[in-house]
Amino acid sequence: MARDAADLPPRGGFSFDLCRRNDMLLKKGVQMPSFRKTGTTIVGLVFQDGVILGADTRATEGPIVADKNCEKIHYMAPNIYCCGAGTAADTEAVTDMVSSQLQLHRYATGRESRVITALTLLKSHLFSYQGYISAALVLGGVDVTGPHLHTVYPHGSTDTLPFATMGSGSLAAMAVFESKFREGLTREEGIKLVCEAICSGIFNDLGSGSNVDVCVITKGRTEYLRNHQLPNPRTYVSSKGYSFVKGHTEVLSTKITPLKEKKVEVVEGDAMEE
Amino acid sequence: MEPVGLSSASSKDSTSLDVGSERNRYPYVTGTSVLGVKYKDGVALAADLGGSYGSTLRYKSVERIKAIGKHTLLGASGEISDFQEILRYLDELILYDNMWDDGNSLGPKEIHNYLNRVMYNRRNKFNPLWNSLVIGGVKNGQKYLGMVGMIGTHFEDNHVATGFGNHLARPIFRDEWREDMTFEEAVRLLEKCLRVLLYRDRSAINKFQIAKITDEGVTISQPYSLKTFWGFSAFKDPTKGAEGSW
Repeated sequence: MARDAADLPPRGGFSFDLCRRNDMLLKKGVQMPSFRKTGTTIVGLVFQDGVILGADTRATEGPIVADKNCEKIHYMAPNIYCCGAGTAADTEAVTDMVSSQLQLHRYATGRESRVITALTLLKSHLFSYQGYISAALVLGGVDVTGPHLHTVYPHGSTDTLPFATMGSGSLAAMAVFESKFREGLTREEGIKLVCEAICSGIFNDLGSGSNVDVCVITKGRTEYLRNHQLPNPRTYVSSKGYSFVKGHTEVLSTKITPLKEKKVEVVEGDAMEE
Repeated sequence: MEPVGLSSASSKDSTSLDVGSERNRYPYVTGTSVLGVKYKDGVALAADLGGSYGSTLRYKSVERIKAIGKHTLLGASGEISDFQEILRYLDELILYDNMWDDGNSLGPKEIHNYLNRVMYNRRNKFNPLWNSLVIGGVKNGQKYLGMVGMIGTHFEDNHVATGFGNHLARPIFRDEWREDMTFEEAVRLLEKCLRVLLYRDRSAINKFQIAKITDEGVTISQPYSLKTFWGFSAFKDPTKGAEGSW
């Protein structure tokens, strides 16, 4: 392809060159590699002093649980955290990237990061990739303008809400929120409601499971309560432990081969000449 | 005891090559979720009165819960015309049963089994009745609540929901249903779920009926609507701190 360097704008975003080749491969029967998704329940709500985010901890690869206790609440800034649902690599990468951009921005401005800054960076990045970056996020934080809670969809649209849920367990969690949410909840009530919503997702959605992570963000203080609730303990553990003493397995025959000593000739060489 | 209605239906579903015109490929006028719970004295069913034609709300007074005989309530979601067909089959069934005049009457277990056979046989002929049915009833003091799907899946439980209710109402039922609820508590629980469905299911309308069945008989309430709350301060000016977003 002939290119005049002066004419074309700089190429950014997704290159769709290989899509036709991928289609052709699919028709031939080649299977696309599978990727790890976080079939998930993530929630957020605004309470009287700030924002509370919650997430389950199961990461699935198709029907298999790949990680029983992964972290879905990602750090963006000391006062901003983001829960991620969708493809695990995408949510990690995109939140990492925006977190770095926010830190550079903090150095440049000398001020605390604002939630809408993170929001705009995320949505413009996701939009330019036209939904191919499969990251559905619940972004929450408290800055000088107050508490904020947003949802970001893979195609780049956002919502600003008092309570939000995303992921495969979002309907189960939303059922809890729609029936029990009120404005002006206290911290204890908020954490309890978030845990109820995540547990609803854990027990009613197959893509979510294991434990509950909670993050409470208020003005000047963030608490990341990792594994705040463990509603799925391992119940059957052998109390005697597992020990395999000699005599457990029958020995049929024994053959001992001693390792031969290998003599290495050390040749005096010159030191490395520089 | 073969009701006439069933055999005429099977002659329609011929295995010859012009089956294409008879097959039920997609539903046209649909009803949304039906919810059912057992409570202390009997069973309560709830459904809204909407019949959607694709994405249009075409009919707003479709009664999707009907009494069958003395002991059963039937609620259906999915294709409304198939529900009306099922009611015709059940009419014949109950008629034949009454004509025996032997003091026995078909109870909810029998109706459930009959409907299960009908649905499964239709599915095997690739011409399903496009419904999810909820059967509830009380006979001789024994409460019964079950569900039959359009492919013939059937089960019995203390609380059931069809369609969207599976995702939105069942988590609430699993948390808050109790064995010895009074009717008022059951209605409160059903209304809680109906309200969530009203907020989050696009084909739900704010016009509901609650039906109850006990040993004394069937009562289907008049249509009424629920109060909804939209007064969150965050909804008033959602982008106050985030100029330019939405």
